[in-house]
Amino acid sequence: MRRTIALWIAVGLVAALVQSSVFASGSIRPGGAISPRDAYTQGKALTFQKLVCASCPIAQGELNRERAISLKNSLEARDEAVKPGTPDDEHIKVLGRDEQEMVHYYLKRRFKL
Amino acid sequence: MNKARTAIAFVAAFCFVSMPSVLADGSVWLPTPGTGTMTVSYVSQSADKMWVGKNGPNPIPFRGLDQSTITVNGSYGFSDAVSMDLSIGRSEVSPKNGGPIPLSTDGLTDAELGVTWRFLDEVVTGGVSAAVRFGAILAGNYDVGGFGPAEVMGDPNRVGAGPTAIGDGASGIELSGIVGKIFNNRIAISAELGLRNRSGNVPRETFMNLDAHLITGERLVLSAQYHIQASSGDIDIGPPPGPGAHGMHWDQFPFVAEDINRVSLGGTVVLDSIDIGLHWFKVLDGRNTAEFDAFGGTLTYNFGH
Repeated sequence: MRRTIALWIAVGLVAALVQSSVFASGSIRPGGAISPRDAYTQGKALTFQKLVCASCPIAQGELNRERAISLKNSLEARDEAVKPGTPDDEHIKVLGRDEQEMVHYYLKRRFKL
Repeated sequence: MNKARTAIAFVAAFCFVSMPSVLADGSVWLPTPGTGTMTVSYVSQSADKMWVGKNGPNPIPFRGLDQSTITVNGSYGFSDAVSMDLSIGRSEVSPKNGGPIPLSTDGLTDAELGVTWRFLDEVVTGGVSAAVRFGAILAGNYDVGGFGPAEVMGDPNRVGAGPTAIGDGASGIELSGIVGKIFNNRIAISAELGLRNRSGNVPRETFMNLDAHLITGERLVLSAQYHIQASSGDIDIGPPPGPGAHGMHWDQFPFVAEDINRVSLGGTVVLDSIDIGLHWFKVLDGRNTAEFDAFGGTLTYNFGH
C-alpha cells in the first residue's frame, strides 16, 4: 500500500512538472501605445477632408506626385506677390493658415518632395 | 462653422492613433514615413495556478512561476502604407519553490521582424483601415524540453528547462490581417486575426487581438485588449506515456497545445517626445497554460518628427 502511494506521488510529481512545462512560453509583452502627436496624420486628414474629396476642389484620385508638387508650390507662395499661377493657388484657400502648414508637411513627407 | 469644428475634432482624434502598438501585434495606424519609435518595456508576470489540458485552473505544485522580461521594440515608417517593426528581449523565469528542479532560466527571447502593408486607409476612403502584416520569428537563446538539469535527470531526453522554458524554441512565420476604425472621434477600435507557424512539431497557432483605445485628451490614452490564442496541437501536458497511461515524452514540451484567453487594460501618457505606458494583464482561460497576472511598463521614444 505504501509502495502504491509512493508510486502515485512520484507520478504526480512528474506529471506536475511536465504539466507546467509550457507555462513560460506564454511570455507577455506590453503594448497598446498610440500617440496624439503627428502633424503628418493631421495634414493627411485635412487634405482628404477639405482639399481632395468628392465635394472638394480636387477630385479623389487626382492627387499624385505632380499634383502634390503643384499644391506645395502654391502653399509656399501663399504670401508672395507672384504665385505659380495654377488653379491650386485658389484651391488651397479652403484651408486655414495652420491647416495649410499641416497639409504642406503631409505632402512633403508623403511624396518625398 | 460646425463643419470646421467637426474637422478639427476629427483631426485631433485621428492623430492619436498615428503610432503603431509597441507590441509585435499588427496595427493599421502606421508611423509617419521617415519616423519611428523605440520602446523599452518591462513585464513582471506571476502565476499560482494552471490548466492541465482544459482542466483547471489548479494550484501549481511548486507554488507557481515568476517571470520578468525586458523587451526592446522598434518601428519605422517606410512610406505612407508600409512600415516595419522589430523586437527582441531578455527574460528570466523561476519557480516560486523549486530545486533541484525545475530550474531557474534566463535567455534571449524570440526575435520578431514584421512588415505591415496598409491597403485601405480610412482617411482617404472614409471607410475602415485595413492592413496585412507578415512577421518572421527567430528562435531565442534559451533552453527548452526536458524538465531538469543533466546531473539530476540523467536521461538526455529529460534534460532541459522544462516548466521554466521562455518559449517554444522554434523559428517561424506569422501572417495576419488587421482592420480598424475611429468612431466618434474618440474611440479607436481594431481587430487582428492571424496565423503563426513555427518549425518542427510546434503546433500552428491562430490568434486574434481585439483592441480599443479611448482618447481622453491630448495627453492620455486608455487602452484595452482581448487576446485569444488557439493551438492546432492535440498534445496535452500529462504524465509520461507508459502501459495504461496517456501522456507525452519529455522532449515534447514545446509541442503541447497551448490556448490562451487574456485581457489587458492600460494607459499611456503622451509627452513631447516620449510616451509612458502602464498595463495590466490577466489570463482568463486556457489550455496547458498558467493563469498569469502581469504588470508591464513601457517607455517609448519617438524619433524623426
